[in-house]
Amino acid sequence: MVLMDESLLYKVALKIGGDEAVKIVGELKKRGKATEEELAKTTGIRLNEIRKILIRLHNFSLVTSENVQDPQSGWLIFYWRLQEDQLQSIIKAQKRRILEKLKARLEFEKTHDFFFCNDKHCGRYTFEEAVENFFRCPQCGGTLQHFDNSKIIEFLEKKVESLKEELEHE
Amino acid sequence: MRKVDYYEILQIIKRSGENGILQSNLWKEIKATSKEGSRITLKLVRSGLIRRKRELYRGKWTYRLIPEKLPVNFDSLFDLPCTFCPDQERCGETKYITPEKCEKLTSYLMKNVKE
Repeated sequence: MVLMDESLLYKVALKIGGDEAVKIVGELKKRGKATEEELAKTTGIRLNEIRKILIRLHNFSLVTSENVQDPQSGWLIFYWRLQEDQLQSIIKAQKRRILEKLKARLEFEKTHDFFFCNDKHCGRYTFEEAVENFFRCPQCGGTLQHFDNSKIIEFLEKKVESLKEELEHE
Repeated sequence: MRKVDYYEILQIIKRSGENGILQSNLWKEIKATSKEGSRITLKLVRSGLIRRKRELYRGKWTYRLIPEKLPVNFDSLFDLPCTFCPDQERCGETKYITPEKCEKLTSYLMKNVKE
């Protein structure tokens, strides 16, 4: 019997640190715990890259480290291990956090008028920024035109609603 | 008697989704006897993690086990640039990066409304 949907763990690892993070997580799952050197040896990923990815995984609480003193040399050995039991709460915390960000963006889209440079797609400017630049693109000098953001608003509203609903039922 | 992992059993019930799972099918999956199975499911019901719904199945009354909470869905977050964004700690209303002006989020939104 599978304890948890493994694909979920690998999807999260992929999103955090790409294919190399998936390899590292797979290795930690197999071994239980491992040092950076052991991970580098078995995955073939460079040591400094392993450290970078482990720190990113650690920042989002997917892995944890423990220090063990080597009885012979007296040196500290860092072991890394997965925190699989935290996976569900890690995802939920992300969802809550992102929901707030999307709500902020939605509010911004609803309360502002936007202008864009049609010719070169240099960027999007608020009405205030467009006025400051006399409706000329600050990057290429092209004429700024009104940008209809109704589809963005509609998209964000749907996304916010679906995330809210998911959070209620998870 | 073998050790029961309630967490594992709860995950199976959760994975069955909103429709739940018939208790006899669950017992088959976890290789438990009806006595063992009833004891486990009743414990989960009392803990408020699942509910039971009486159902007539092939001429016999049985129970359908329905999770109170569904498993977390990550697919809805996967394509969003904010998910596990390395700049997440620097992003906020009063911070260096804001959700209102984030270029990664703008590109994502533009791409999605074009499709």
